[in-house]
Amino acid sequence: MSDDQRSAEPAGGPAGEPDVTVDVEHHGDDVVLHVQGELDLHTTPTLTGAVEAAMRAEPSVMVIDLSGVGFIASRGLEALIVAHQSAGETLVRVVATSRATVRPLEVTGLRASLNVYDSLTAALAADGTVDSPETENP
Amino acid sequence: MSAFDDGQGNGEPPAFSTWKPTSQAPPHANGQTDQTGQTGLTGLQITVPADPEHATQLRHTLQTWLEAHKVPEDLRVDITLAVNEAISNVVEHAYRDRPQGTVELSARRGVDHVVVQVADRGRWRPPPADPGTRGRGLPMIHAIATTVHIEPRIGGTTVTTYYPIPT
Repeated sequence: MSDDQRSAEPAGGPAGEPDVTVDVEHHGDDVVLHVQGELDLHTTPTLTGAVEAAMRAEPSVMVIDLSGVGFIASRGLEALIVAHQSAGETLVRVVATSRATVRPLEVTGLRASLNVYDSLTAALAADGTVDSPETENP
Repeated sequence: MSAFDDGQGNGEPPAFSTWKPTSQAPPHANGQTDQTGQTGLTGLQITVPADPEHATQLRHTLQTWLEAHKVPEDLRVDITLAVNEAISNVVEHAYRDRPQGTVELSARRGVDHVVVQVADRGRWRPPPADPGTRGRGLPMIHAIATTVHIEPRIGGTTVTTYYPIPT
């Protein structure tokens, strides 16, 4: 991960849908999707599209960083599940730092199954072969 | 389609921003009177077209109202999550095979609780047995709200949720 190469591609929806943006950042073979905004019925397709596009490069690890997300509905959670299910060899991790994102993951019981980390650093530092959720900052 | 026969006219949902304070304060409202002044506790009542864009606006309106009514932040997060799912259910399911209808949100804050109602004029659709990756909305509502009351009737469905305010 020494050759960090930032190529931020705003993956926001067309004009008039500024409610969520996804910036894509490459870290060697890994990719980080920085999500900003709110994930609901209206905006989640933007994230789904960004996940599909980034998956085509078959990254080793995909981190979906929800640090900038102020609201996530069940539709947004479903997008995270679909990302996991369609990941193939890619390890998918989720970063959730605020109550607005942690709470819905908890009440749905998804926090345990979606490889959730409490910081981007922890998600990127996690061992690449054994996907161990809930182990922060080794 | 007779579900729309409410005197409002079919296919003409009330415009967004028809929000107004509710005019009927419950008699036991613990000293709150129905005030239209900036500082009074007022009910929220708003009706919008049942589409995703308006669902987002409705959620933002609720968040603003909760904040203005001094609902603690953690509870605001919870109420917003649960109510958004009820609104999403209306947008996605209530008017299936029908002309697009409306969703009505009403909220009231008592001294120690918040009650929120989400109503439609469509048809209640029970969750399918195997929803695949979907079907998390209703469980989220039940996991968050202390009381959930779903009234599916011929003329529409009302989902009422109740949240105590921690002291």
